Amino acid sequence: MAKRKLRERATVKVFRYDPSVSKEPHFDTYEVPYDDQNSVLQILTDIREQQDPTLAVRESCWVGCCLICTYRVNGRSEVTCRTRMEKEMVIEPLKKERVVRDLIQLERMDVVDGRDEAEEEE
Amino acid sequence: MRINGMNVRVVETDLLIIGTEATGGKAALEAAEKFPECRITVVNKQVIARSAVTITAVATYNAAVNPYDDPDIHTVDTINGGSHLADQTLAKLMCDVGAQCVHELEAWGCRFARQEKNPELYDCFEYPGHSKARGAYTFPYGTTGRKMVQIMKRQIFKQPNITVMNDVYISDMLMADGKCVGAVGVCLIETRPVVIRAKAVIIGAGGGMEIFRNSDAARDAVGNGYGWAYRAGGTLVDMELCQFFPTNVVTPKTMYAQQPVAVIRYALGARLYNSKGERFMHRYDPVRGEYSTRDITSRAMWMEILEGRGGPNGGVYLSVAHLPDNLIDDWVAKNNPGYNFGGVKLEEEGVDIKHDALEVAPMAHFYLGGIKINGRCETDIPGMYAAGEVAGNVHGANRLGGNALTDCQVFGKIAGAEAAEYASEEQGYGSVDQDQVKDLIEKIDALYARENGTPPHETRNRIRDAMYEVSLVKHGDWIENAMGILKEVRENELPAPALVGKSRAFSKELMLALENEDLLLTAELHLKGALMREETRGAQCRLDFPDTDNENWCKNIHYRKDGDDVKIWTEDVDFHFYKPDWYLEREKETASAV
Repeated sequence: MAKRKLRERATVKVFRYDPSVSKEPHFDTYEVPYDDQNSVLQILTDIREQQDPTLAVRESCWVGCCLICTYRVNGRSEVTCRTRMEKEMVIEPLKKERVVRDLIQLERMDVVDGRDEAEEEE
Repeated sequence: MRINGMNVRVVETDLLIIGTEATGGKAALEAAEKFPECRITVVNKQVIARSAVTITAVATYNAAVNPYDDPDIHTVDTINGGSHLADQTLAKLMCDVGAQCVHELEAWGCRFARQEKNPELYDCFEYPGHSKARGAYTFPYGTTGRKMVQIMKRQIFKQPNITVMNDVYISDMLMADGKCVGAVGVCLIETRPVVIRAKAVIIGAGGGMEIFRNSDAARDAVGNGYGWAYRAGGTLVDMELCQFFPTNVVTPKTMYAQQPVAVIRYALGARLYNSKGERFMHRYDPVRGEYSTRDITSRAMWMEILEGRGGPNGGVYLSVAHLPDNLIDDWVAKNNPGYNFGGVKLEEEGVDIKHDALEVAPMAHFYLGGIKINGRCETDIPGMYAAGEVAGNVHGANRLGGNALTDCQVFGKIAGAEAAEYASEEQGYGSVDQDQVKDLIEKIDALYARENGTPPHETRNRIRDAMYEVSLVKHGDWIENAMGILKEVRENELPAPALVGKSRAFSKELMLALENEDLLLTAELHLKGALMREETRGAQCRLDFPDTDNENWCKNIHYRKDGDDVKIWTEDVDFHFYKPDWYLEREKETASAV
């Protein structure tokens, strides 16, 4: 890796929700090195691996195709593997009412209660 | 059902399909069409059409779709491209049925590009290794995989007999009297065990590229399917062979592993340079140079990087800057308007291909080995079918560009019809082996109970880092070294992972911990086979055995579980359809000797 000065720090506020603990969501704030080349999803992964393994995040293709890592970053809907980080970020799920844990939201049908949410997307 | 005091969800279905994308989706649709009475359940550990590898298939669907082409020529290209290791029955099937699956996709509304002047013909790319232009694609270039999964998803939701289950992690096949009678797993949302009883099961779970740190595949490709089949007693084949795609972008990070832009290599004759500014490809392939096949290009790039002639981010340079600016502009305006390569807008990323090179590196791209199947997609185990990337040896030692989607669609179709027929003839469900479910529950409970252990992501990174060192170019000593690290992981870390978070609401840590088992197994089998195959062929490159050894190694390596050990043996390739020149010569020599 090319060495860049990473003295600057960024603060990341992440939406947290764990129904087994509390029905009320809250935000956790993490401090990370600021690197303008870095992606938001990489920052979330770094937080998970280095600071807080309990953070639950959806990720799959990492090349901007599957769109499963789309979250709200500072109010904008962004595909986070393809979005560069900012010095101050607030990261939230797209649809809070569908969240089952942190940034993971339910998509359509699943086995929990077999409820059918098969409405057409797009 | 209550087991060990746990409320286990039981699902009953006729046909269980694991995987929902190019393979699983196609299998479900084919089964639903041929057997309208069949109740089908398709399972994804993430979300249908929002995960896994198909959606990242940017390139083309290769098949003999135009009248100037012929499936037999496609087959010969495929076998030659794979250095003659392919199972010729499977390769021929893929090429024979490939075009039909294009027409079926079109009937569902997937529009493949046609030639402007002659709309009866498909507009096709000619990919390296293919002797005809047969790479059909959806416009704009770079969207083929995505369009396919979205259209198949729409069809799947129209079928009343297909049920989709998202967020269900399958951990093993459910076995009864040597037959596969379903699967056991976990509903990730609330960490609740699930038993799916089925009359037949299709595994369409994709490859295991995630064993390497340098992988361009979705994070889901951890080799789950190999683990299920192996532990159930099935046979795997050619697990030592994993293809690397040569030109993946490595910087900036928001473009990491991007491939659409690599089309400039074929379309505009982009050049590859090392850090000394040398065009090195002609040293490795004097005739084709940069137009060489994926295996040779990847190997050449890796050798430059290994020998210290790589860039600062671990790649080499790919450039079209030798061409006039307006030529590049004109080509881009026609093919990738707005410098938009499959959704990657180069301008936004601050990349200017007219003047700068892209730093690119080979990354694990497609698993060539996998579950051994026959032409009906049957495995060794009654009731268990496999198709798509998870099935092994359709392509041999290297896969030609654009053949992956064809592979998935064709064998998805065959598996769907065959498995649904098998299911329709089965009378009832096999019995549920409660011990299998108990084992899973106890494993999960132990994960939550353990206080001191290795976090799953550390184990995963340890495996992937070790495999990076032997990813593309291998040496016997390096393989032994990596095997040592994996042995340590198996003995010390794998039995004792610990979760930091104790919540049972969608635990990412739990998923990583469960996946690590199949990931480690895939990595171990990969290395065992790579050490055994003492030659260089296609995706297998051994510095200590640099030559292709047709005499001793035109063979497939087979793997089967044998207690705690693995039984490995080789079988000769059956050249029943196409005999390469060296084989004919050998036949002649043998005949004259007699």
